[in-house]
Amino acid sequence: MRIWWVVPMGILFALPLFFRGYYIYVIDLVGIYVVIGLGLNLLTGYCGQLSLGHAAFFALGAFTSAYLTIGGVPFLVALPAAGAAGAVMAYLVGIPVLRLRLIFLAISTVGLGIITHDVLYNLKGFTGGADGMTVPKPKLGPLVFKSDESFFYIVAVVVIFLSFLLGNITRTKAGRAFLAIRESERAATAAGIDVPRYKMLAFVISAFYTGVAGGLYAHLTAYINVTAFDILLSVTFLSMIIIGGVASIPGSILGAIFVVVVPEALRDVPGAKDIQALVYGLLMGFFIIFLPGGLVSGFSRLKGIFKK
Amino acid sequence: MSEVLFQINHLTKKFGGLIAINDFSMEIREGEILGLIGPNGAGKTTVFNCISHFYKPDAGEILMGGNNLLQLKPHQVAEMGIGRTFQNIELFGNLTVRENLLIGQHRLIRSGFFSTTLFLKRCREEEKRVLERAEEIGVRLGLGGIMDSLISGLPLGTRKLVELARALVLEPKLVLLDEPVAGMNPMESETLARVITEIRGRLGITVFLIEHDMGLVMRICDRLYVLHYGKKIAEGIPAEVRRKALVIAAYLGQEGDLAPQG
Repeated sequence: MRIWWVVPMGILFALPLFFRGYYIYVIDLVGIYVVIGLGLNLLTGYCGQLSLGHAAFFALGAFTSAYLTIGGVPFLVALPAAGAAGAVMAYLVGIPVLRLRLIFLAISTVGLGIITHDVLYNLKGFTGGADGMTVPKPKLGPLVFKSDESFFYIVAVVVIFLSFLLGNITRTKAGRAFLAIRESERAATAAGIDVPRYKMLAFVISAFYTGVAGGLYAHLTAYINVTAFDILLSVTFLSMIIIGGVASIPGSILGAIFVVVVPEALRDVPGAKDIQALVYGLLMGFFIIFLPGGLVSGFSRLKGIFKK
Repeated sequence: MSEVLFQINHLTKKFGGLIAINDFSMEIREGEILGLIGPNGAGKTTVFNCISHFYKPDAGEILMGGNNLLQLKPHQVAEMGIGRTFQNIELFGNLTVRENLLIGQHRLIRSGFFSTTLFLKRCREEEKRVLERAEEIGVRLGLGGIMDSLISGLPLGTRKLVELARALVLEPKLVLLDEPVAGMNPMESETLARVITEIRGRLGITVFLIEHDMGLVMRICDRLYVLHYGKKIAEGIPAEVRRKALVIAAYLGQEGDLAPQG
């Protein structure tokens, strides 16, 4: 670890001193979306597989962590368990759907999202249906993370740890195998890459990340409601990585800031919420056509302009 | 005479009513440069694609090192030590030359998922080795100056070299080259001919190639098989095959590749 890391880390961990209340809540939410962005970017950005059903893993993670902590399981166990719940579901669903390619995979994951939403909605005794359920604030030994300021530290540690893991995955064997699959499945096979196995690995890891994010979300808001975990949420996840930048960790962060902060900033604008899906759709189209590398590539392009 | 490295026995592949490969048998001996020739549509690439598991043959077996390749999973063909290139070039286009050569070494990397995720010492050392090997093979094929260039910006001749390099980094015993000099200018194909003989000479890798450039084939191949409408019509050393081809052409009418040249 090099010494210059200390400065950004110091600034990061001092954030709750400068931002309080609602602002730190929004920052916490950004962190949670970063976790989803990292996971989904692995699947879509690196491995080239589209998913429009990640809200299912998010929901599963949220309810898993909620129930485990209510049942007295320590938060430190419940959070990874939320990820594991997403991963197990992805594995089971992946066995049939990962045989499908491109748009067919995307469509079947839409189905996954809708089915999960409807099942959870109708399991009223378990999820509270449309009424939702309350979730306890996390405890670590004597520490209770009741305020959004204190919760920030949990989010920050999770984001840093999961970014570290993803950074290592993407720069080594598995990460290269994912990229190879995205570029050419035939050539990947000829290079000795077990394509079905690595597709599954990408799907499971991305679901794990999304499940962990769901767990964090449940404890941040202290209240979860199935109706929030709909198809629009999956679309938001996908637009986040396309807007931020596919196959890029900074891209995941930029995308998360965008999809959290912009709707929050427009919260009081009448009608903004109603056209959210439309706006995301148009933005995805815009970025895919004009800036396929997302905001991240926009910055590097700007740098290029100023160098000349 | 050296040992048999690779063998195809009675291979048949049908596409609906069309018999693309008809009861084809062949063998490759260790250290050979073996050519598979024949007119367009003769079934040459189909043979390669059966070896790579892109097509499932209707009958026959493909043997290497005592294993029937057809009973393995597709990616295990590379693990057996077979590298290949493609007729229409299948590179990882949005990645750099270096990244392509790193991916090519996939089968050689032993660090497990746990060790790579935490980037442990063992994994770091292995990554270093893999990078060095990519550099070494890249330089050997004259790609040293463009290791960080994106594939999508490279001219065809260079891409073919990158593809060959990617097949070589996996430390194959046998490489399958599907029309290695197609689309190259005479100078480039001269370079490639030299590279191919070097692959065999210095690296000790056996070469199995499909090629339409008869001049090249006659010059560098030790033995040839001739396919025509999926059937083997001739085999032997180049001079012998050429003589037979002339006889066959006289009976069947002249067919592009088999026609006498020069």
